[in-house]
Amino acid sequence: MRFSEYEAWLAAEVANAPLEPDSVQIGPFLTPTVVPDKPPWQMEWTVLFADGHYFRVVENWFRRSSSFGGYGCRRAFSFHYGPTNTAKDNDGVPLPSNKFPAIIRIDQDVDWRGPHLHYNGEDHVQQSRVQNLRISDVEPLQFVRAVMEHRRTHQDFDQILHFTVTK
Amino acid sequence: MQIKRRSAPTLEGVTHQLKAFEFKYHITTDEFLRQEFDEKLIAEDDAMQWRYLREQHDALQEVTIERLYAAFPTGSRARLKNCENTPELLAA
Repeated sequence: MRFSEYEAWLAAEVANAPLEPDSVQIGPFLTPTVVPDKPPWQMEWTVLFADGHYFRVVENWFRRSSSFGGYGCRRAFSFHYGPTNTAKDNDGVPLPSNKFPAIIRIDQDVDWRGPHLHYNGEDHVQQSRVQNLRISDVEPLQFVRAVMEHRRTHQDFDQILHFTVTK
Repeated sequence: MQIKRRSAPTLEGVTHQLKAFEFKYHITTDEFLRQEFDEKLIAEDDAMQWRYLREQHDALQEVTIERLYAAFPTGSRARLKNCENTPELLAA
């Protein structure tokens, strides 16, 4: 994907996001590319809810080799939903803290952790233990819609996203 | 809802941010990339951001070198390839 395609796709998706009217948005921010329309780029979007919860979605798109036409690939992402830390960074984004553990967090990085979940109080639940959900394929707006459904219905995320965590 | 763009990255800015991570964790970027440390000491968000900054840094360096290649005659390219002071040369 090229940056311009991503930007157009994100704008369309975000416009249809079913957010609550009294929520506070920080972003969505796009960090532009080094070379016009080419990777790398980053997307960050944080939404604070009035009841002391928030979500934050971050995606990092990296370069692929020129044999792939210079398109970007999504190398890392982090989708977080949980209680809000009162300590915030310069943008107003809640700082990560063990005192405010995620209700759900879906991560992919290129380090030893690999694609994993933080869910039900358990950290780094690896893909091999997660059925019916390919972690690396989860889209940011799919996550946002799941958060909004969870807030509306109080259903658990494994029911909403139809996954199972095995022992 | 409007997508907002942050300012375009610069080599100096990204290098400064990488140095801030080095200072925070007392690990050099080279050690980080070679994974010569206990990864569990680095917060997940920081590790992800660090790798992204490194990717930005590499892309910015490539652009700087390509601009140098374009600015100098072909014969001098080999000398420039491993030049450590490319941003200063380009500014000059």
